[in-house]
Amino acid sequence: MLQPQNYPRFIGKALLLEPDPFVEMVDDDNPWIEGLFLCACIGVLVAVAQLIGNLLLTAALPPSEALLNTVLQTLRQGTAGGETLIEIENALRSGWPLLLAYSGYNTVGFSLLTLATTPLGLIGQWLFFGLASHLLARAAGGQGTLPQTLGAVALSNAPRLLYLFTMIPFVSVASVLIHVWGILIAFRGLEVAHELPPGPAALVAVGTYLLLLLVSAVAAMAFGALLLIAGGGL
Amino acid sequence: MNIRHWLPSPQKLSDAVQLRASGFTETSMRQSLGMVFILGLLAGFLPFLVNWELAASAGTALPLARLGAQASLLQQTPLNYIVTLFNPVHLGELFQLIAGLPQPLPGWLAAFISALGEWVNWPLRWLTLWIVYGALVMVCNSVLGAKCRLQPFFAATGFASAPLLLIGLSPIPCFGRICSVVGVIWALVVYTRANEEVTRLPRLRSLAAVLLPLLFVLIVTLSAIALFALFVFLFAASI
Repeated sequence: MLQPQNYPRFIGKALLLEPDPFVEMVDDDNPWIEGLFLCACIGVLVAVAQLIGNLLLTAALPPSEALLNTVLQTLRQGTAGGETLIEIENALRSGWPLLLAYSGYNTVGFSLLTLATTPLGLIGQWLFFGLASHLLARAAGGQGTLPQTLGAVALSNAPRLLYLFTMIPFVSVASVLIHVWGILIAFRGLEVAHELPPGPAALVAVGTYLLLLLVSAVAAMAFGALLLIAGGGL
Repeated sequence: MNIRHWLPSPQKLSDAVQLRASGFTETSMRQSLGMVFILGLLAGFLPFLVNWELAASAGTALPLARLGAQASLLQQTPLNYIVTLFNPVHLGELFQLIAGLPQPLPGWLAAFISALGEWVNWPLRWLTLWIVYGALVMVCNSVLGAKCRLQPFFAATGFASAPLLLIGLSPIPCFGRICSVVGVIWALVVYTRANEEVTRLPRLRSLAAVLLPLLFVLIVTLSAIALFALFVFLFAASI
């Protein structure tokens, strides 16, 4: 049975690497459903915070078009000329939307899209991480079931709640913090769910993360190649 | 919510910064987490006021105000590859133009929220240092033979954030820099002592476990800088 009222307590204790929330998750009648709902809640909260942050950032900075035009105007007054100037201008114009999308500046439409993509992406990532870590943990001698693993590793998304601070413009949360803290929580979760000793549990958590990193890099390269084929248009 | 659950006692804090063994025991990770966050906020308060004043006087967001303030420095830039694209005088003017562009929010409000964002970054950076560097040190501890759990380790090493409070004085000319250097060195000493206390490793091994990740971070950073410089050089050479 879903118990969202317990999520703040679970998240707080998971961040402090305490075993209790993992034990409760593993003993739940439907741990994977709890995990799914927890990931969706975190994803929605983070996406809403980022949307608010992007709106405030856009309001706190000059319009992006004015900024780009000012840069281009100065460029034309510079010492570069002819084909070089045209090349630089084209590179700037094609790279500008990517820069805006990355920074969240003047991209409210794109941010609205992330209201759906952030929870979905988080759920996809959790499913992949849960499945891969389950297989590795079983190979390392773990005893847990797949639903238990999914429930336990869902709590490794708890540090993502730090992204709520991005509601304030110019706040940046280091992704290395989110990932490393997530790995530490996943390590504790795997230790509890599979009754693994610390050494193998740590290896499984780090190994799964490296696998996820590899898959993400391949996906990013595929996306980049698609973008190139499409001619740089978003 | 009781504050005693989120912060160590002042006596513990005092013992820890004086490197007394009693300072590193009986503290929970929750208390260390609270301490790192609160001290980060405290350290960032003076820089927040300075940043807010800088941005408010320019009537724009902090990054743009900084850009405007740096404009004159750029005019003496020695980077020749920039001259091929921009005249440094034009670049300085560009920064001033960008800083002067109007934004939808009133200048004072844009200045405030951007300075506030920079302030919140302080405890977040400290958390990053505490967790990420701690994880690396834990790996080294394990390799060097320590048997220590994560929670007591993080609980003890959180005290290294106390001397870092001195970095908050960095906006004060000259004195601030000296304080920052003293704060960093003191924090490193407290961190090593905390690691030694919690892992029971001999002093030299504990020091090695603390310094090895620093070496690793240094090598990674230098490699990244070298790669970036190479990229810029190749880009400049191609035009």
